[in-house]
Amino acid sequence: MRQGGFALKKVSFDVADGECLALVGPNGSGKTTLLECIAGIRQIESGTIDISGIEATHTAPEKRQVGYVPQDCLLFPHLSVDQNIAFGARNLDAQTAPRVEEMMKWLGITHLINHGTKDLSGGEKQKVALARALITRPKILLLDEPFSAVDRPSRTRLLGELRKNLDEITQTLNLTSIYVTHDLADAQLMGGQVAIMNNGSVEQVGPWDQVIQTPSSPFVADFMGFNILHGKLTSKEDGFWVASVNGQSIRGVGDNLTVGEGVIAVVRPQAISLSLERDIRKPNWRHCQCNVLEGSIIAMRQTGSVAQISVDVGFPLNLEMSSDLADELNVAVGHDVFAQFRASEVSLLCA
Amino acid sequence: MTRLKEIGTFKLISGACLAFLALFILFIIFAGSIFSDPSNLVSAFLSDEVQFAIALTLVTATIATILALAVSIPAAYVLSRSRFPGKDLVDALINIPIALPPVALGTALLIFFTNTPLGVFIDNSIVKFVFEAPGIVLAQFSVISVLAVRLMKPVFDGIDPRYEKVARTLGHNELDSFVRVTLPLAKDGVFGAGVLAWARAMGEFGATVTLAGATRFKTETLPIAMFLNLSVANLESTMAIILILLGLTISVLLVSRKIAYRGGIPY
Repeated sequence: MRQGGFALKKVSFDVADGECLALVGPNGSGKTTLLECIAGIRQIESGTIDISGIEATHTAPEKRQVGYVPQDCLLFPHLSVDQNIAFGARNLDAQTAPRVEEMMKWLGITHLINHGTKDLSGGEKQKVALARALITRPKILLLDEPFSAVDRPSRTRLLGELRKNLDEITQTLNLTSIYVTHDLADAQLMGGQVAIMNNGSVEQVGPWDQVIQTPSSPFVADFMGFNILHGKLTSKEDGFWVASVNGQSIRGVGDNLTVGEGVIAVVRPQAISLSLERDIRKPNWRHCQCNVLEGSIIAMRQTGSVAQISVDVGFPLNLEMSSDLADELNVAVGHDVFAQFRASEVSLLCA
Repeated sequence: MTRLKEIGTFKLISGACLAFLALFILFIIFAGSIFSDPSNLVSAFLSDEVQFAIALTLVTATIATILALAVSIPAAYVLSRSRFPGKDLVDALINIPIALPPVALGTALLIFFTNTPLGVFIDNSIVKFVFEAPGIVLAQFSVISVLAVRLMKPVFDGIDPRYEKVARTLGHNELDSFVRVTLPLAKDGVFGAGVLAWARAMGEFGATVTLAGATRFKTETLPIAMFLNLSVANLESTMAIILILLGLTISVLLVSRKIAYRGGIPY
């Protein structure tokens, strides 16, 4: 698929029946374009799209059985709320009216019957768009950042409601869904599986735990907020690769690496612990291969129950811990500390 | 201070120009009205000839507008939504009737129906256009259909194409999505374009007189009736027809202005 200078390139993933995949990526990475290709409103130049095991690459959008909730809901302004919902069931007549009513009841919007669409709130619009898509009894539900225009607190509440509705729908209809967002927190709430997109390609796809533990590329690691450390592979000791990063030796794991080549070490801020002494602070890490780097705190910020700390260990290293633990350690900017993290938590990727 | 003075002078000149134009039109109408004796105007209005011209104008303009809309709505839609090789050329070609004087358009049609084998065949065996009433409809259609395309394209441009895409994912095919979503959203603009095209058809003279001729009680629309009366110096009938056309035009323009504004036509 090509649009001006932009093209979808390496895109390949499967979503199992009844599963919700969160499609995440920065703005302009091709998430919406990919969703439109699945919905059939954009044609692809090569490759195939299968829906429920049947090839649908060249199937017209109206025959794909795909429910699509676009970014700004796009409710038809010349129709009332119930006429919008009934649009998916062809017409609002005696036959479809009970189905529309049932759908509205299910989503808790019966009070909007006969209402126009102009004065609806963001959440109401989203529910009407969802009802309109669901009444067609689709096999796949495609949700394109349905709350992007809503403020953060409302978004969290609406996402919670949507998640609840989707859980019920998934159980009832065995519905597969793809939720597009650029926000990792939203994605984590919505999808059991995640696909990370960058510049028209899917960089990594898999369960959340797997993507968080082993990002497949520097982009994925960077997008997930990992520390990105550029260095050179020096040796392999006790089953772990050793990389030199700004004069510090860091042990980690990786595939298809060669000593002497440039590497990128990535490590999650949440995987790094802080100690006032060189000895490993966490008892259950004592039998593991650990990296211990000495440095001083250069920045500290507490957001609710989380403390974000930057330590200069020859290069800046960001870590996150609970505010309680930070208080317990009684650390502040300028204090000398030891950053500790297990070698198994460090992924070494080819530079 | 100097700048303020400049703005003041400019506004004064602009206002004077606007006042001149408004007064010019008012003066012409007023001059024409005082020239005519009201009783003569009424009798001219009630004359068989003027009644025939009114009926023929209304019927032909309405048929031409319906035909023009039937063709122009899909044409404007395609021009607005689609990308295809030669689009610029097609766009330029359908502008020709707007740039061309109506007499030239009428002459081209007349030559086609009298001098080309296909045109002669159509005129002799299918529909008689030359110097006949269907010729009026064809002449009006030729002038207003492209005008309607020009008026409706920005209307379709202003409607988010994603509405149709969503309609398609909801089980409606391309035609159904257009009829049930795009067309209702464009209805004010389409209606406004239709009214303007109808008004233009009623006043059409150049192409009509060349193709359909100017025959009393046959191809005599209001503009042609005006021309025929003027050619025999029947000024009262001419003035009566002018006033009828004026009344129709003013009411149509007032209605269409309101609707066209709502429909997004830059009018």
